[in-house]
Amino acid sequence: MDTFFLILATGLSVGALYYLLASGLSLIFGLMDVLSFAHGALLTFSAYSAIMTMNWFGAASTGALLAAIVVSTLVGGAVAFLVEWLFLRPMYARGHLSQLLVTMGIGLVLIAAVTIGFGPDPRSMPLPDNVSGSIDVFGVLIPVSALVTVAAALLLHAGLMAFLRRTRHGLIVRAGVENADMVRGLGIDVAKSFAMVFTIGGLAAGLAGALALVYVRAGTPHLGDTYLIYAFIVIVIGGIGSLPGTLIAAALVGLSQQFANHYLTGGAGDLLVLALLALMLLARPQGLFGKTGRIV
Amino acid sequence: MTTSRIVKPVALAAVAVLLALVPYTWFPGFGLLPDYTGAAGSLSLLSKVMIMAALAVTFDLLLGQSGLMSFGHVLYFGVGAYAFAMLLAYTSLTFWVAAALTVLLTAGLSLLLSLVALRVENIAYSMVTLAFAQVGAVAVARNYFGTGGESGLRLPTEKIPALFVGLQNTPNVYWFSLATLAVVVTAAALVVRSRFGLSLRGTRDNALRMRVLGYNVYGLRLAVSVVASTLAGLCGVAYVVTIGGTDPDAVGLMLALSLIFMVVIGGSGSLVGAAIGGTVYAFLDMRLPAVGDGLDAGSVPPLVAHLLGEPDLLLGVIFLIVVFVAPKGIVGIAEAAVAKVRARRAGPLRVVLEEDFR
Repeated sequence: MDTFFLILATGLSVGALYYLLASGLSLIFGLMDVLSFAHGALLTFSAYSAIMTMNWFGAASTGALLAAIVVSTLVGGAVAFLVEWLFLRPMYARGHLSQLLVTMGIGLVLIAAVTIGFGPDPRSMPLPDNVSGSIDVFGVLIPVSALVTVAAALLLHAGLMAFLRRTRHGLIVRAGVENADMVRGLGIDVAKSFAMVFTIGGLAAGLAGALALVYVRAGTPHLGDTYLIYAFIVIVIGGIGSLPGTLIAAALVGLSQQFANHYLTGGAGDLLVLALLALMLLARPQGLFGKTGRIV
Repeated sequence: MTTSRIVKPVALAAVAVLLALVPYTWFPGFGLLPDYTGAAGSLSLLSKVMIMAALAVTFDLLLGQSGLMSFGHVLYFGVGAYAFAMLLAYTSLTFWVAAALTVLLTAGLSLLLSLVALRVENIAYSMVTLAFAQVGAVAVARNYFGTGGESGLRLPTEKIPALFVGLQNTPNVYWFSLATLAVVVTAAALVVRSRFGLSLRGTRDNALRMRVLGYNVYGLRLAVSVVASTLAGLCGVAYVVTIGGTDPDAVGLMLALSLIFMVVIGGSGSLVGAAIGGTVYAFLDMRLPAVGDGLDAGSVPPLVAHLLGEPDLLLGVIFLIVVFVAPKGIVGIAEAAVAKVRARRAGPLRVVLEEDFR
């Protein structure tokens, strides 16, 4: 039974990381139809800033970890802001393919920069003992890292929902996801909201970078690649532009992946998730919570 | 237009003849090649370059001609390579039978998967194809069905015909790659020039209008997917012959993205452009690190050698520059230059008057 709960915890934890990346991607795509390939690299890039922060502090204390998480989040947001401002904004007039290509180029450059700076080999992330261990929750040992990532994802979800539902900017974003042309027609600058959403996506990717290190304990230049692919799958299954859908899909994907990998055979989880995606697209192309005609 | 229908094939045939003569030449490589042109090392590098060029041409059928942004095209290259290597390693089939069977297998697999993937469009199509390719990458990385895992699969030497084995036979391997490139370009050109190719460009530019005109858009896309994938499978076979086995890089997201780079750098929608893009990309990818290593330590700042050792950075920068400055790629730049020269030669525009016809 302990194994079951352990896998449940890791599954939710992986799902939480997917959500951190997917939530931003989903809003970005929903608002501007841009599928960002740069977000995996953003995750990696900020993760390395977290490792650097930890090394700068020397001792792996809880305070240092908190600082590393904050630094990583801010680095992700700052890089995303610059990428949008310098590279994506000039592309708005040029169509979706150019924007996609630009994010791919940025992703390549960021990953190459990390490889040049830190080498291709894994860099370990020093963790304080109280985070690398497990704690007793109602008689079941749960890794602290799992609790941290899940809590972060839930907090981000609550924050994003409050932002979307309660603020004027959020209202514009929601309207833009629904129908960007109509919002533009009403004289509202959707590009400005897009810059904001892209930066929020970057902040979330930066947070995911630090938390991915808490989960896997070492960074490689291709850390973000796998997360990016599964984040894509999560947003398609959840329904593009729907955050609650993304949350549920992230948990579903994380859990099915971990359970199948453990109870069937290594790698079976990945195949199961891909099968889920194919089935979903055939039976319900708009995803769990998406609206018909939005992505097709 | 009519002249280019004759000039282009003749020019391409001339290029093919020149390429076929390379093993007999002995020019210096000028850093572009590791050795003199006819040396085994250079020929082996050129073989890989030609296969990448051929693969880029097959991808242009999808992305450039039909507007299908597939992230899964590498799957068929990978399946071609792995199925061929595995048929040779695990069954008693002979080389040519295995090659033919592999190409058939790729065609069948592509038909099955495209039937599913083409039910959705745009970004959803990209995602499904990405997922299919990821299944291949997972299967290879986890060593399912004896794919050899991270280390790839070596071909048993006794299964390869003697004419492809050994250093002295590198020219034969080179010609095999050249033949593959020629077959792929010819087949793709036939598709592009046919009514079928014209309809494909129609679906790329306005699928809805083609539907209204009574075209079966789904069928057209299915057909081009199978053709492109089968040719990619052929490239996979040639790849195995060239490197004497497989490696996991033949499937996976990195190569899928590289294919997009190749087609965009060369000029999306032009077969020659795709071939040029594939060539440029493969050269940069394989030669930049070697050039970095070859520089004397001391003669250049270590940062430069470092940058050259990680070609992705320069490739990414070049790619961004192309997307920003020359969205039509190398071919677009060349066409613009030709148009400029022609306009200058033709002199200033003159209004045609009614008297001119009297």
